[in-house]
This record gives sequence, C-alpha cells and structure tokens, in this order.
Amino acid sequence: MEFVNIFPVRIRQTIPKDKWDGLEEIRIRAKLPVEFLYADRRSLHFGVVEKEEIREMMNYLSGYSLYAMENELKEGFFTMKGGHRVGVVGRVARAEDTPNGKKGICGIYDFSGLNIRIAHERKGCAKQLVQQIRQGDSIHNTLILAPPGAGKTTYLRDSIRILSYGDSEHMGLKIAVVDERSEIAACYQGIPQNDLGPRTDVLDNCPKERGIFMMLRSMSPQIIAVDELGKEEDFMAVYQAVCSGSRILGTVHAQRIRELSEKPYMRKILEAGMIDRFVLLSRELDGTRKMQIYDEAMRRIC
Amino acid sequence: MLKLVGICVIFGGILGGIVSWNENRRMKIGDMVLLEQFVSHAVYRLETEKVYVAELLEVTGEKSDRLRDTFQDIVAKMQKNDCPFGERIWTEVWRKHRGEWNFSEQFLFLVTECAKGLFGDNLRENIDVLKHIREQMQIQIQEEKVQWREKQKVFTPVGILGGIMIVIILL
Repeated sequence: MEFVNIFPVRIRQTIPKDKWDGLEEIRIRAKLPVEFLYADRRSLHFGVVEKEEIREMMNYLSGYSLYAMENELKEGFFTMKGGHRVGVVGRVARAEDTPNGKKGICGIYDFSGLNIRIAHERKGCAKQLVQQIRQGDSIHNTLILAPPGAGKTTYLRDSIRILSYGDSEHMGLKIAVVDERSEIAACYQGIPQNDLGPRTDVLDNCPKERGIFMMLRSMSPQIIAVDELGKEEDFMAVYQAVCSGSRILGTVHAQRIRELSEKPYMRKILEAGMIDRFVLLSRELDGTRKMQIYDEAMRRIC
Repeated sequence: MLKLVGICVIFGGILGGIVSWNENRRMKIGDMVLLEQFVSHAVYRLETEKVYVAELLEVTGEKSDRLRDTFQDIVAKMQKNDCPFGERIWTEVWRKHRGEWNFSEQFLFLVTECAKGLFGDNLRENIDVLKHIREQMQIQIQEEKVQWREKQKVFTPVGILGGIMIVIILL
C-alpha cells in the first residue's frame, strides 16, 4: 500500500497488515497513537508518533521539497501522490494583515498533526446522477449539494468521467475542470492521478474565478466542472460561463436545498434560473450515500 | 638510431605529461563549471516554478553521464523514504561518488552545501543560499583558471627545456 512508506521507519514495523480496506482517514498527532478511521466508523490505534517524526513524514510526503508546497501549506493542506488530501496542523506564522483587513498567514511550522483523507475513485457511483442530468447531447446546469464528507467530489469526479467517455447512446463531451484544490483530478506534479476521461482538460491549482475564464477563452468546453463554489467571484464566473453557452457542473456545501437561498451569492443565480438540476447528497450511518435530485423549480424528480 | 629513438621517447614523454596535465586541469574546471551550471539552473527553476528536487535532479542530470549517475543515486535514495533528511542523502551520495569527480575538497564542500539550498523549508532562503553558493563556485572556478594559466606558463617551457637538457646529457 502506498501509505506505508510515508510513515517514519520506526513506525512502519508497527503498522498492522491487511487493515487498509475501507480506510477513509489516517490521523497522526504528535505523542499520540496513529489512528486509522474506516467508512463504517471503526477506528484502529497503533504506534506513537513523535513530533520529529511528523516532520520526517512531511519530508516523505513532499518528496523532500517542503518549500514547493508553501502556498498549499498556507491553506492548511496539500494533495499527495494518489490524490489523497493531507491536512496539516501546527504553529501558524502570521503575516501582515492584507489590504481587505483579513489576517495573513505565512505558513505552518512546528507540525503537530496530519490528517490524510484517502481519495477513492468510485467508478460507476454517479451513473444514475448522470442519467438524470443529461439534456440531449449535453447536460442541465447542475449543482451537487452535500455537507463535508458526504462524497460531493467523488460524485463530481465520476460524473466527469462518465460524461467524458460517453457511451453507446451519447457522445463524449469536452469537459474543462478547474481544480483549485487538486482534489478532482488529484494532479501530482501536473499529472492527473484520477481517471477523468479522454476528453477532459484540467487546470490544476488555479483559483476558480480565473480558471473558468481561462478555460472559456482557450479550451472551448461543453461543460465546466468546478468543486466547492462559495465565493462571490466563483458565482460571477459561473454566471459568465453559462452566458457563454457552456454548461456548469459544480458542487456546493449545503445540508439542505433551502440553504442555497440563504447564501447571498447563490440567490442571484437562483433568481436568474440558471441552475436546472440540484443533486442533494447525504451520508447514512452505515456509510452508504443517499441521493435526491430536484429540478429548477426545486421539485423532487428522483 | 638508438639515440634518435631515445630523444623521441623523451620528448614524447614530456609532451604527453604536459598534455595530460592540461587535460586534467581542463576536466577539473569542466566539472566545476558543470556543477556551477546546475546551481544556476536550480536557482532559475526554483524562482520560476518551485520545482521539486527529484524533478530538478532528473532533468539536470541529462547534461552528463556522471552527473546523471550521481543524481540518479540521490533520487533513488530519496524515493526509498528511509532517511529523514534530504541533506544527509545529498552529502552521503556526493562523498560516495567523490572519486569520479575532479574537484578539490574546497569545491566539494560547496557542492555538499547545496543541500541547504535544495532541502530547506523556505523557498526564498533556499534561493538565496544557492545564489551565494553559485558566487563562491564562480570565484573558485576563476581562481582555478588563473592558476592553470600561470602554471602553464611555467610548466610548458620548463618541461621542454628539461627535455632538451636530458637529450644533451644523453648525447
């Protein structure tokens, strides 16, 4: 398993074999046992990691090139090979306040913990979703809504893959992915680690609002796919994309449909009637996912 | 006839010695320039694209077989993930490959110091360290070239005169 080698040499011997199936998260905290968390909410503890060993792990995770991840560390996470997201905690070095009054962050030092979220490519999980959002040769403008950890990105990824490949009844579509947090394609040193299909172009580590405009100008996409729309600039860019003729396939944090109208920037999009399909994802206690699909009038269709 | 052969052997030996010495110095300076170019390239790639160390070594190693061998060794050890510090890997590999390179202990020290600029946590600091090392390398290369020229001016005529004297003595 690719994760064994990221652990310090001393800890590798204590890692239980054949405990990787169903693993969702690996949590490492200084002076505490390593914790394996599974989809069915089980957990497994072993070994105790010292603070210096977390630094050692950061070296392994970054290919001894921690400086290359300065920007990612300012966000508090980065993507490792395989597309797995690594959250980092420690001492934050603060910078001068930015002009808009926000507190600046230089980076994270004295690492005290890591959270590795295992990326899972669940091929086929979005088959039903894609059937419901198809519109002729293209798709409806679609938003996937879910709370954190429910699988928005997994479903988005699989939807992109299915639409890009096409099938016996539908041609494959040109899809432009603006992967700001490197989670959809999980590019590692520029190479996508996940299968997004043969007609998919990826702009990695690019802010969504800039990336959408860049893709519109250069890649003539039929669909633009983005993850975690939230800022005003994101929605303005989506608006421009829809006006330009591209379809949108995006995700938004929300527990319920009505939360959308509470988000100030979403209200404009909803009032303009730009989004035709809303897919609400939720996670059950046993780890399975439930999907509800609504049309532009918020009527449930599936 | 024998004397003629002897004269030719003596002059051939002296010329061969001078050429060999020149060649050694040329290779020594060539090796130093190669490493200096690597450091310049590293500075450029770090400044423009924050390149990862492994990628930098794989691309730059193509400039020469020896550089490729040394860098491949470093990358292979990095990929094993059994050494907590990149600096240690870099220094150990360069010490191991020392015999294949024609530079002085002083220059080797600069090469091993590159580890601080390649494996540090802060990009800006890394670039500054490498720039400083590059300057020191350029100084040493310049000194080496000057020394070579000065010694050439002495060794060549001394070698030839020495050969003539041996021939005269033998005759």
